[in-house]
Amino acid sequence: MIGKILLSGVLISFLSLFVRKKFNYFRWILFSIYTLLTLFFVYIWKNDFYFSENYKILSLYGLNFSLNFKITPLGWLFSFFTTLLTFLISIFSIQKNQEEESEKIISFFWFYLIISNIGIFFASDFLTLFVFWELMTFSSYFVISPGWMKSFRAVNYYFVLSTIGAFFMLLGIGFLYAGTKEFSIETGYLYLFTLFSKNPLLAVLITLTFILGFFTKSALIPFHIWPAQAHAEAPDDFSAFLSGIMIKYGLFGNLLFLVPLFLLIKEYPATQIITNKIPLFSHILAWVGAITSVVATFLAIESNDMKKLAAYSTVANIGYATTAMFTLSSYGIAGGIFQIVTHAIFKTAIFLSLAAVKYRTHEREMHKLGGLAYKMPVTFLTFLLGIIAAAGIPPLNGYASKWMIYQSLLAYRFPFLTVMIFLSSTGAFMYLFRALHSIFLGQLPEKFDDIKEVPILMQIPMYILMGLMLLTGVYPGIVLKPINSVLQFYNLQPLKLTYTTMFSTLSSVDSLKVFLTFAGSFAFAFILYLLGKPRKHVQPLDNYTAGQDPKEFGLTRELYHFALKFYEPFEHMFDSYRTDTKEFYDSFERKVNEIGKFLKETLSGNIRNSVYIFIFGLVIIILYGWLVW
Amino acid sequence: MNYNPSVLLIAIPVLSSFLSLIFGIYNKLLSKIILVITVLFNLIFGVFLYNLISKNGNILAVIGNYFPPFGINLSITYFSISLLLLLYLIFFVSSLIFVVKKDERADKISSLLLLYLASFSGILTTGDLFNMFVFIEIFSIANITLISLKGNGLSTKGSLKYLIITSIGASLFLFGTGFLYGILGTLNLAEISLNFDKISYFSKIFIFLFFLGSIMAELEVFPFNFWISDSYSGSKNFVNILLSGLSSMVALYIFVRLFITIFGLPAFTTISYSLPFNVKFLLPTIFGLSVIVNELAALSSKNVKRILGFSSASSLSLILLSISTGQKDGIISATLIGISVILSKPLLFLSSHQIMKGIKEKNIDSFVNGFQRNPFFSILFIIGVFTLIGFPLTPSFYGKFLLFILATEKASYITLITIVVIFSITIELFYYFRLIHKLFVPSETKFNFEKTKKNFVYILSGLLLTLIIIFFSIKPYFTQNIVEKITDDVFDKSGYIKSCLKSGEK
Amino acid sequence: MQIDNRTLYIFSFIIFLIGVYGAITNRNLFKILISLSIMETALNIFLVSLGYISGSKPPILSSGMKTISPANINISDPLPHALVLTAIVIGVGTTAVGVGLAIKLFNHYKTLNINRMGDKDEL
Repeated sequence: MIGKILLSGVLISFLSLFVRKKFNYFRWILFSIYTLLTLFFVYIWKNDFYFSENYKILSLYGLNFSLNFKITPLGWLFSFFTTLLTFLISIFSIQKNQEEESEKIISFFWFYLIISNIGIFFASDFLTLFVFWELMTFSSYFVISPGWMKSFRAVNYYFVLSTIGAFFMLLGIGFLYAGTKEFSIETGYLYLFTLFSKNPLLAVLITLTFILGFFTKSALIPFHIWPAQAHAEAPDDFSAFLSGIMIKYGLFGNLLFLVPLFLLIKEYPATQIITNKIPLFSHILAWVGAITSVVATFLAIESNDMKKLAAYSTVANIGYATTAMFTLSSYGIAGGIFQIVTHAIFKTAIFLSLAAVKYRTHEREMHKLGGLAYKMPVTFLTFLLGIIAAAGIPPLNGYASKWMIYQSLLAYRFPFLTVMIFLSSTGAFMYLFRALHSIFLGQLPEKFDDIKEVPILMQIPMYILMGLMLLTGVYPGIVLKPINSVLQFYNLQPLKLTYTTMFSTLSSVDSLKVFLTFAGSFAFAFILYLLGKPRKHVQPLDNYTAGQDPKEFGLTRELYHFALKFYEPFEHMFDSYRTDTKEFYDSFERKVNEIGKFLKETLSGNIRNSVYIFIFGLVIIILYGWLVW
Repeated sequence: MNYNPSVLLIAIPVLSSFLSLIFGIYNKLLSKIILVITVLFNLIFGVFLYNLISKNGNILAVIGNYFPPFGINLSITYFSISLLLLLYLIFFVSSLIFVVKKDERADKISSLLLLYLASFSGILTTGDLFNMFVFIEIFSIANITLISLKGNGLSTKGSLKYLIITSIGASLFLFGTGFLYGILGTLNLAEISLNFDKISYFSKIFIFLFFLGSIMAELEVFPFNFWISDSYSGSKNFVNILLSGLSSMVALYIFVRLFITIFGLPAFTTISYSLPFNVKFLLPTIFGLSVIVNELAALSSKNVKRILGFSSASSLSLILLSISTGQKDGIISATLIGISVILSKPLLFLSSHQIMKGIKEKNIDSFVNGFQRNPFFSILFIIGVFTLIGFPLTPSFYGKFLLFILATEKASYITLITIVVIFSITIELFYYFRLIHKLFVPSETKFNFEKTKKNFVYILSGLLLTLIIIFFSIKPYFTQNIVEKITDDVFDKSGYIKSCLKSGEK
Repeated sequence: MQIDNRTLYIFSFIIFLIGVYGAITNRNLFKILISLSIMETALNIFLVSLGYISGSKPPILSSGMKTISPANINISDPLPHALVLTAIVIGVGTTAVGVGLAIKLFNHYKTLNINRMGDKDEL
């Protein structure tokens, strides 16, 4: 069934090419239908755990090339939520892409992303995983930059880092294959575990290759710069997909391979240094996650581009999840997975609302926006709920997952990690509030006076996403119950929970009660509002100017909107600690280009050079022969 | 078995080369017709020989009833005939493209092309070292003249570089031949192969270095690859196809034939120890360095032909690297990558030429909006790129995968080199994707281009190449069969000797 | 005077090195081509000397000889001579092509100095 779904995706993608540009919404409806179909089947598979599907394709040159799929609890959880969110995004895209240039390319390659999405999450061996991984990398190249010069540079950051990561992953797979003679993931980490005692150097090397492969994809330090480039320059609806779904592949890889490996080492700790009851390797990775989240938070505070801000926020959230899952306790892993799911939901909501803003205003710089709350109420509400969730304020879903992470970190005695996470979580308030203020509150620029709310087709997914955020916040059990089966898959103690109550070793919280408390206080405030005296509605500008006409002072509405360099004093505090990673990559690129240019010019210089080079080469070869002889 | 008519593979092209000059005096069209007919003859006769060899084993053609080791003989094995067929195909495509073009010098060029055909047929079939030298010289002269056809400064300079380097290379080759003759008293490859182990240590090193040095230039290996820069960008399209898909492969054939079948390279530890000093490190280092240098040079080039030229040099070096890993899997992967390079490089040159048609500057910016202008050739270009970089199911995917598995099997020096090299292949991905990306960029200024007429041949040959690529991809077992036969044949030193010499068995 | 084979080898190698030296140091295109020709000549000498046996006669059947057997005659090997003939022909061909190209380049750049044959402008 999995194979049929993937194949039908390929067929439909070619079918969609024949839709004329004039009726392009058909193309996107086709896309939505395919996503819905996938979602339906993924939902059906929830009862078929450990059902496997093997396609023996070829047996060539002493190697077996086959595609093997297996529905694991982990893969199911990821695939269900990602497909659900893709479906919501695809509804948004129907309207959004009507006037998009080169939308044909976007939709065509997006099909392959859905296909590789399923393929990656249900892959049961490395070869399958790698094939779909590469398919994902190649096809996302053309979705991020479907022939746009403006996003060309950004996509190159993404593409080069991804291919290097994939290359390292392939290297690790090759080493594992040399040891085990098969591509199975489970045999792979068992073998690697035994290798730690036999040949520690090689084992560390292999582990490092996998870490590089997965960490480049999920944009942890020092690869944290590509999301800010790629998410910002990609098509707006695709940014939601990139940030909500694609960045999770690296984390999925961690959960698939590295976490079981470290769990093994944790259980039989004879072969590795153990710190704080977890392997040193894992501890370091947890720290990498924490540092990433702090750095990304500061970068998000500094950015003025709203999509860049959201992209850095994504990186920070990935950092939390990484930290949590590498503490290797069942609460930590559950918290990490929960954070991944909730982040996927609220970040999709945030990016869709930003896409809606850009759909109407065509602006990305936050200081050029403002006061859109009254003009686009649904978008505003989606964004508001999204940032409330992102900041981890109850009763939305971000709160639930962050609560789990804090509890696990404190319970298993990682105080410094907790401080780091807490720091970046607090920083999140700063940039999220800034975004809310700059885009939706404050003064509406004059050119946006006659802006309208986005069409209804784009509103529907936003409504659904708001509902989802509330639902998973109030009933965290919906997500946590499947996570429990993931924990069983790891042979870990499942969590104690009901649909609304989460327990940890330290305390428990009933999110329904929290929600009711919040709802009650809101209701109380609303009743007070109704009971009070009738109010007069005042323009926001009048609030600022106390009723005077700003034109008399030569001022415009935009000048009242304080958004540019919002945190300048704060930024200055960190001036001396700043290292520009992007500059590092840029200079690397320049160096490579310079070497290339030098080589090219030497090689294609005049005939004289050629003769010199030739004789030089000959002499080298003869000398070599001489010396060896 | 003995099958003397196989000499016709060489004789007919040489004859028609003169004929096309003579008939060209009366009508230029006649010489073109002669060219096409001869190529078709060689192709069909090649297929016939292929069947014959598949059934009966290696073919030996004895000339003048002088049985080897005396006299001149041709010895055709499975490896040579299958490579020859692929090369004939590329040559056919190239000559078709030449034929439809109007050219004042059509008779002379077709005569030259026929000489080219004869010479590479000769290189691939001959069983005699000096004969090989003669054919190599004819081959390089034909190549030089073809490169300089365009007549501008760049192409003349490129061809002059090629001339200097090949004539030094040929001198070295002749030195090596003379050395061998002086020691063993024979020029027959099988006889040399039989007695090679008797040569002293010192002389082996000399012979090895002479032959290696002579062949490096044609193999486009760094530091002998400087001629490709001007030659590719300065020459005509059909010459590009010949250079990328054919010339380098012929050199590769010489390398494989001489160093593996005849001499037995010591890097191939499982095969032979006849050269006792350690080239295990020398060859992978040179070839690995060459891949990296060529990729970097291609990265910083702006001219599309130059990019493709450097890229073909780098894929050739990759093939050589996988050969020099010294194991059977290495040869298999080299063969697989080789097949995809032979088929995809002409496709890339052909389609990029069509995409850029009508635009004066042939740099990467002339790819802008290519998909709108020329969707058919853009798709062909994309297929070519994917074949080259190893998309799953294409031959080069298996090739690269095998190379990777081979390299990681045991941590060794070759592992390190291979890793560095495959790492540098990400550069290749980068610049090819840059080109593909440019295809989809909508142009800001309207290019004035005429609807290209007369590109029927381009479409035909592009389709032909694509279909063959697809055939190789969807029939992997067929491909595997061929590849393994070729590999066995390459390693089959005693079989080669036996088929040539009646008293070949020791 | 009888010349040892080894002397001939060394002699040809020296000539070859002269050719290489010329190819490296000369700026004039024609002189480079001439150096290449010198290299070829060195090769031809080398090849001929391979077949030469010190103090031997030319490989021609003279009237007194009925049969040739290795025991009683002392003639030089004829095969290298034949090879050298071919090599000379090929060398002439190569030189001719090279001269043709040089003329073409001279017409294009109006100089034979290879340092002045523009490079940057065509990159």
